[in-house]
Amino acid sequence: MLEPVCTLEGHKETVWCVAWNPNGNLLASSSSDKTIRIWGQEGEHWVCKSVLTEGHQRTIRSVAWSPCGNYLASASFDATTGIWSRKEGEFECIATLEGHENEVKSVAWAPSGSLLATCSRDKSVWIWEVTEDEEYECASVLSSHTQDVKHVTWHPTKEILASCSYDDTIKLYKEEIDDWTCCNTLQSHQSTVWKVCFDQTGSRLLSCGDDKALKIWQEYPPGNPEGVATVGSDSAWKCVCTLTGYFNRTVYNVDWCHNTGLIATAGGDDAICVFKEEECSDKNQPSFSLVTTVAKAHSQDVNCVAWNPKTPGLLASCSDDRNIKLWQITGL
Amino acid sequence: MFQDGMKSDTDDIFHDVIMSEERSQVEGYQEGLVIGKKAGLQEGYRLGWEKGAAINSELGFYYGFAKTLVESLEKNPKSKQRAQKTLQSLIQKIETFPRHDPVHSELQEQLASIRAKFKQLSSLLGLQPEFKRGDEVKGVSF
Repeated sequence: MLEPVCTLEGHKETVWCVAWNPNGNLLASSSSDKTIRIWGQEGEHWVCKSVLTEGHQRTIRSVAWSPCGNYLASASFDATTGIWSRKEGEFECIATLEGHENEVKSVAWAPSGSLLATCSRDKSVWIWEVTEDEEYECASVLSSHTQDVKHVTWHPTKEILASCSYDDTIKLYKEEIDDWTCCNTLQSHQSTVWKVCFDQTGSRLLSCGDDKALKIWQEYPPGNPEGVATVGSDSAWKCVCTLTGYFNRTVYNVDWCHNTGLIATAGGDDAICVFKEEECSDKNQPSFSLVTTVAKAHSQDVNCVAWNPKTPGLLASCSDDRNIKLWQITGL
Repeated sequence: MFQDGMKSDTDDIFHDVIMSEERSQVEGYQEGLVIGKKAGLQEGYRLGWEKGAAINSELGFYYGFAKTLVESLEKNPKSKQRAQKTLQSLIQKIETFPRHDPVHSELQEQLASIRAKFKQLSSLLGLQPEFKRGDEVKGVSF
């Protein structure tokens, strides 16, 4: 069962993104109302700790915490990415990254904290390097996608970046001698891919999209015992599982819990679904089953779901209905 | 004699009447072929000229920009190492672009890579030079 914990009200328009800090005690949310809100626990209750305003001129599409938890990055439709520094509980905008031609859709920190990736409707993915004196230098501009890029995410341990797009593909990038290059293109989705994320080990990818499907991708490194063909030193990625029939509308977001292995989905059908891998599931042909569904989780589209990194089974969701909700998985 | 002559002329006239449609078809085809070839050639030439001019004026803009920067970056000891490296890479990419092979299989890919390098360089230098392409479509997305 997915039990409601509380509803966080405050944003005046669509809430696009929720993100837990690495300690799991703060939740950041971003909205069309051009603000970021920081939520935390006071006693039993979750409350709004701060409201970050005046960083952006338009919708803030996504937010991401740095691995150290001291910085927050925000991607906005005003074509910029903001960097916020947290000192003694107060947030201050310390940098604005310009370069994208139009709407920035997503932002993500690499596990080392020294690289940042952004993507935009201008079809490009940018990689930024954080220098020692806290300056952000553009390390690469990647224009491999042929359409709007929806989301970027980093491998949990290696410096490998994944992006997904309106061109129906997922692309993986790595750094070569002098520049970043696209080393893999994953094709299987029939329509826009909205979100892509790695599992805890980084050997699997999860994606969702407009085709109302979830897909699990397995990494096959060179010389794999299964005999899957690879090119050079790059791994091959194969779609090993497709989950369909559970969704009536687009699946906008998905999150793979690194603690419990649970998968949560958010969609245009206002519902949240939770899946888990079946015991004795074959690595090359895994099977997943539906744990629970909350049909009317929100009164409108659910835009994002995020598992708490510390408290197992604690889930945050946000929606077009302007609300954020916290949920707890029980009875597992 | 007179009778025979009459007969032969009459035959020719009938023959001509019967064959006139076929003959004018052939003539029309030939004439159309010449005009069509010419029009096609002109249209192809115009398209090639437009695309070629557009690509090369864009590359020329980047090249001129890059070459001008080389000196000022070298003179400035404070200039970022990454900016210099990016600049060299941009120049090298433009110089090796297959300008004289319009059907080169990697033409579009290489052009995209040059545009990306130029954007990276502009960002590193904090400059916002913009080459306006005619084909940019403005719209909304979510």
